Amino acid sequence: MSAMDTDHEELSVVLSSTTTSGLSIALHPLPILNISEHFIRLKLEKQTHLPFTLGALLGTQNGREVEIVNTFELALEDDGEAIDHSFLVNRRDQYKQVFPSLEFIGWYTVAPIPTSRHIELHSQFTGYCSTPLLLILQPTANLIGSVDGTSQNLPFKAYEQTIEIKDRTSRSVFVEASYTVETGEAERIAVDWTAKGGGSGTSLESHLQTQRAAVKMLHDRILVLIQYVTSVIAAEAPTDHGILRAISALLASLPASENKTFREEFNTESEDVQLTALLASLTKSTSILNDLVDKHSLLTTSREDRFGAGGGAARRTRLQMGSARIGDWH
Amino acid sequence: MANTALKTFSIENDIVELSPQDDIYKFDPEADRKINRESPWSKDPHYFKSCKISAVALIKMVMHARSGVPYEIMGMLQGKVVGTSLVILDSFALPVQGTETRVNAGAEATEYMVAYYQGSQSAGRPENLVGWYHSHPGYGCWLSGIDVSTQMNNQKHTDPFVAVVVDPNRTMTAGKVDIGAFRTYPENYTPANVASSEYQSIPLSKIEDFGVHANQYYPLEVEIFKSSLETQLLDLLWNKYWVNTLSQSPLVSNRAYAVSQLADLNQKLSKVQSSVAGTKASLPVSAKDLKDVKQKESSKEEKKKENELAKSVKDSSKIAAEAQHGLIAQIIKDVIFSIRPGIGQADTSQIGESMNIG
Repeated sequence: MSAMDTDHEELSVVLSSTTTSGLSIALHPLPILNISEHFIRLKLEKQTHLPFTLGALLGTQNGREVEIVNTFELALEDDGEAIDHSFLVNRRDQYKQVFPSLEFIGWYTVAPIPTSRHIELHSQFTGYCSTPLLLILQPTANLIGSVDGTSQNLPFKAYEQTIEIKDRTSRSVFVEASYTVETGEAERIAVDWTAKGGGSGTSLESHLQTQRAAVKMLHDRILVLIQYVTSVIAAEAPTDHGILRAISALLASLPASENKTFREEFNTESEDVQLTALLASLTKSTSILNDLVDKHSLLTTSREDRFGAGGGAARRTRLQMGSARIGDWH
Repeated sequence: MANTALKTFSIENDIVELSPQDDIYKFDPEADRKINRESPWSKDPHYFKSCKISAVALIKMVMHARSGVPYEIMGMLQGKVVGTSLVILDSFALPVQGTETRVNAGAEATEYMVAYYQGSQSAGRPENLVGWYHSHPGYGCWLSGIDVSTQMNNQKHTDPFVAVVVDPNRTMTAGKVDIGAFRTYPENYTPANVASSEYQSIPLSKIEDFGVHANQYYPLEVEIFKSSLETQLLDLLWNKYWVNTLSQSPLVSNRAYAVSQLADLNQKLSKVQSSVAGTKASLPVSAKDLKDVKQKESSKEEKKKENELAKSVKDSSKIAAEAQHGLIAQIIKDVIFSIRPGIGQADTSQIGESMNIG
């Protein structure tokens, strides 16, 4: 995102990558999927490569901490360029009725990089929110070309508006803000489940598989760190003290929690779980025993009914024959 | 080099890159009108066999349901009919809050629904309303008496319509989304053969409501679909949220729900205690003795009908299994991040080897 200027009209509206915004943004998976779905639909409808997609971001903002939780599409005026403000207000109020904690915090669009057109659009949103955010989906990186193995980044970028003062003139520019992906527990399960296509094998199997996949990711990441450190020791890679400090801080934080109270709590919890399992198997054996008794009594009474009251010995042999035959019945 | 050439070529020639799996998102008003005119579902009560739900619709429903716990929430579904399947493309929430088994839309909710639907048309979402969803926090996916009458009404007036139920609490404990899609039979129609559905544990307070109406509707098979772009994004997202997967603590987050499950099981077992003395085993009949086909079928039904104790056994196994899953997660974290007693002060190389996974 370096400033690629020279031409006056083509002056980049994004500040160079050395300046980053001070916001800490948490992006949930739902907005990501919403935006991509909106984009695909418009593509299908308009049959163009890059349809003009526009929508609003909903979320919460506490000082410098922003959380983007949901989105909705925006309607455009007849010429397909200007925003339909009444629609925006209506929709926003509708969402407020259902999700009172969410507010309008910005807008999104689909484009390779922000341009001056986006600056203009951005100014229209300042009426609704003091510092709206811009989130863009960059289509080209993803749709054409392949994803390279391990840690590809999401094709989304977040921007904040700021004023750049240069040569005694000020102009509005965008400055990139970094974001992290956060999920709530229910959201994570839903996203994970759809990623696997819904439906699965036995629950234990799928649970273990998810855990294994997560642990493998951790393992891979640790290997990358180890590789870096070994190459630094062998003087093959440049020593970045920042990274090395972070690694040593990470190591110092292990073991994560180790004191008596924690250990006690942990043991109590696992005991509770094992107790539940024991009770469940006891219930099961009681049920099986009950079934056995039922079947047994069924055999004894039915034989009496059919053959009349027999002698004690005769009944006993019949019982034995009956119990031998239990296997055949079912 | 070839990559940039391809990119420029695509941009210049406006090539639309879409894979066939994305076709389902296309809105075709002609086909829509045609199938609505024909309405094959009015002739066959069993017409719809499956319900396809898009990824975004599903996630929105789950999030809405979760945010509403412990209340029931409700919303509408937009989509279309494709063959014998109802395709749900989007969902939106209604400002209605239910209590117990009473969730029906009042006047203001209908107003909201109409306004929202009209707004959607202008925002590029022209699909029809094809269903409604609501949540059953903690007591499973089925239709209560009120739900059945609401749905029968809907199917009479605004067919095609589907009823979707989602349970956010079970979703959290089971680790997968608990969702069901249902269609009711029209009044005075008894289905030919009652297929016994998969068992699910229902809390004691609701079990009567469940039993009375269980034969008035049937479940549709639920499938999830997503676009090609979404599939790619989901793969990339995994790179970020694997951390959350590892750090989850289902034992802690689901504690309240697990406690309520155990209390419910306790009640069921005390009920069983009184009735268990009177259980009888059913007499199995050999195939030779049966001349009447109907008798054979009814004997099969008897076998499937289990006594109360067996149902409680299933419930208890489910509770125990879910608790075990939670414990597995905790132990994994313990092994990786803390000093688990027993492993002791093993030197790092040993730990490294034992961690050699995959």
